[in-house]
Amino acid sequence: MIFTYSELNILCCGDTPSKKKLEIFTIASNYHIMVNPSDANFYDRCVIQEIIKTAASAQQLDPSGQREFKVVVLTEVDKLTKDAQHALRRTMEKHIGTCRLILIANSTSKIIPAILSRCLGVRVPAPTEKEIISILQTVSKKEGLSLPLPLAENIAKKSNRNLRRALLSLEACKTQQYPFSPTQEVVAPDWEVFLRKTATAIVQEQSPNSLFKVREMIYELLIHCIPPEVIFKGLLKELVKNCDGSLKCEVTKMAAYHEHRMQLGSKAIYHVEAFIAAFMSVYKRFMEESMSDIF
Amino acid sequence: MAWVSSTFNDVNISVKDRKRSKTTQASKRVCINPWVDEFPPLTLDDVAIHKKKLQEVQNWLIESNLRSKEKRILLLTGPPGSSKSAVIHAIARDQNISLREWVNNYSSNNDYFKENYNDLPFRGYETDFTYSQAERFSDFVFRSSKYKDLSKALNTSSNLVLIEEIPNVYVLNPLEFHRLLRKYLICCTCPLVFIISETKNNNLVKSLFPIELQEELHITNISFQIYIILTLIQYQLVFLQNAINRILNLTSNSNSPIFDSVGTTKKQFLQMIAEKSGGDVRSEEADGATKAKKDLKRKAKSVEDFIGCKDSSLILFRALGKVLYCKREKCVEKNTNNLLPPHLKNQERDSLLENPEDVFERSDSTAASFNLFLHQNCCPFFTDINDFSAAINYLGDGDIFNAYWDPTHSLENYVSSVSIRGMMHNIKRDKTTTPQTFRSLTRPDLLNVVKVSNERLQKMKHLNKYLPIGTEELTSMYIPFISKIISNSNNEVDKFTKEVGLIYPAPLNRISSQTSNTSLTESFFEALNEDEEEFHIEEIED
Repeated sequence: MIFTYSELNILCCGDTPSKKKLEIFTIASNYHIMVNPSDANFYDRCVIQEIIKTAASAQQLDPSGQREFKVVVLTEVDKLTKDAQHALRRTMEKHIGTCRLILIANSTSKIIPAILSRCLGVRVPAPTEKEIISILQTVSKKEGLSLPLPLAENIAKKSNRNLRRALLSLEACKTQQYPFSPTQEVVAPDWEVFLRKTATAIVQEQSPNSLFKVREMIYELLIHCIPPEVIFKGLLKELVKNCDGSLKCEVTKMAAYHEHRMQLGSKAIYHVEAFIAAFMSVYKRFMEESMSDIF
Repeated sequence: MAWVSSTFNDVNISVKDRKRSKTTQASKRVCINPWVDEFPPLTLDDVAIHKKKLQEVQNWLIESNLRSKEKRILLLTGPPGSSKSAVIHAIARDQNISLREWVNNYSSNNDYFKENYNDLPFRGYETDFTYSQAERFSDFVFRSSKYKDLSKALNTSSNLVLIEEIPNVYVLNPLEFHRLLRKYLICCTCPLVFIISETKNNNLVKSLFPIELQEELHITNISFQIYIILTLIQYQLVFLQNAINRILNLTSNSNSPIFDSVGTTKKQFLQMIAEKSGGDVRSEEADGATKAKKDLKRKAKSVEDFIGCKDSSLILFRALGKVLYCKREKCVEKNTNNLLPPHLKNQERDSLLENPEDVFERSDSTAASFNLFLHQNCCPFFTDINDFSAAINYLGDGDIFNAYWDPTHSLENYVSSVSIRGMMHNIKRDKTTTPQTFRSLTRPDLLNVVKVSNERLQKMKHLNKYLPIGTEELTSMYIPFISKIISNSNNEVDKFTKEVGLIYPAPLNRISSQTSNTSLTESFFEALNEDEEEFHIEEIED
């Protein structure tokens, strides 16, 4: 990948924790600056401009020993606001002489075309389950653990091809029970279990009262810093399991609608709850209809 | 030097004159000033605060004098009226420390300002508008920490700089403030005390004194609490009562026959004041004063009305009730036949008794917070999930309107209108059922949820700032797993991680003890990218 340095900015994209960051680390050197500007919320525009400007304006001290440009690595570019992306495009062009950028993003869909067209896109796919299994085995070998294959497969399957998650859950499994047994249960984060419980509560009873209880559960999740987007995604995944074909489509549409509204608004709980209420009313109608069909 | 001669010669009383008249007449008049100002706590025993907190503050003062560079800055936080400034003043008086206070002055021609600056070479602050507030502030901080108050220089032991108000410049630009503090630590010798009141929506402490800065500059943070909240009611009551007793004694010594009229109920009365005030000493004293004036005429039984309920939320709850109970006119005549087409018949409602806009107007709150209260309390008023779904959609609409930020709040009324009307329209009450029973209304939990989760998120980010992963991954994957991996220890960080990551408390007894502290994943990642460290260092420097 190194040859691309001389000419172009690179855009790496790929599913969450594919190895895109790792690969960049492995080729990284001390001329790099790595920043995650999306942490700065709506100040991201200023952060980007400032960083690139300062990085680019300073010339390299020793051009013979080093390359004649600097490299800035920006992570989570897709989380940047549109404003910041436009600013990025401009600064990128302006300082092309002294500065190269490596942009890292989970998906290119949220990046404006103006940036896309200025970068060399490199897609880094998420590791396959096989790869994950082999990595899990190398790691456990290095740590002096014996990892049975079925467990490794199970972990790899549960990890959604997310390598970091696979490794974390391997370690969590180890703390829970060692030596491993092949049929051992793969540890899931508490909030996922809790979210599953919330979904069951929603399916069990559809009334304003039960919604009030569900609200408490959502609060519990929020207080553990689970982002509302994740809650939406998880809830939908669990709820859809209880629906049949046509209903699945409707529920997914509702979720998308309310999540979009959540992005427009500022208080997530209204919209999460609106989705749950909408689901409840649709589900209740569906249940009543199917009951009347039976009789 | 006046540019224009005053046309109010007849009312022109100089400050000095006023002061003198006050001291001479104090014995005659009873309540010129509020009791709060009239009777500040003079000795350490008078301050209504727990002994431990007092000890903490005193300890800090001793330490700050011993060590040269560390622990020079003290930050006192707490709700208004929890005796923060009283403690400092009392300690200063007790240990004979000369206290230098900063006062935000808005007009440049302020007598108080000059008084405070009488030891500085006069630099024409009075007419010179070129000095910004920030400049004055830093000037004050650096100079007054070096030089003692001339008037008291001989008989005071040391100096203490107290800052209760922070210039607005720094509120907008905390980095500048942090720079000032760092500079202060380098060149100054005298301890510095900041006092910041914590109110509900105030994140001044967070922005001006973030955790990183507190660690970096060794700022000691002592937070005062209202004891009512912490089950220490008894303690606090005693303290508060002592405080009030002392004041009442002082006043009754002078002349007032207040407590003859109250007589035996005195003790109950005190207890009542103490409870009502919610731990705010200042409001207590103010209440006491109000009562003292009125009590001469009324009997002790009606006192309760006067001990003003500090809760302005009563008005809010009344408005909430209006919306949620949603009274409609009894349909007298059915001439509404033609108003709605048949397919919309189910949307037909009797007309409302109260105009929703008026209700909101009277509630004396912002649309966003009113919606929060509605949201918190609406559940029991619905019986059908369809209605509820519709109503909460309107709340969502309101939220979306509210998210468009504009400085004139032009959408405010629409926000409230949409959500209140949406809510009222969908609350259907059967006319056949008996009138609804009393339901207690509560404050929204969401505020607390948002506050706690924001604090946790910030802390989490700070603790894990070297991890190359995004926020979402951090909270929804890394922390939950790590909290399962780490062993139970008393380590502050581990405890915090467990608190956030685990939803149910983990079983305490673990069979296999943890062998190594570094986690597998970390060692793996480290092995792969050894120069990761260098990245971080550069990041910090930037």
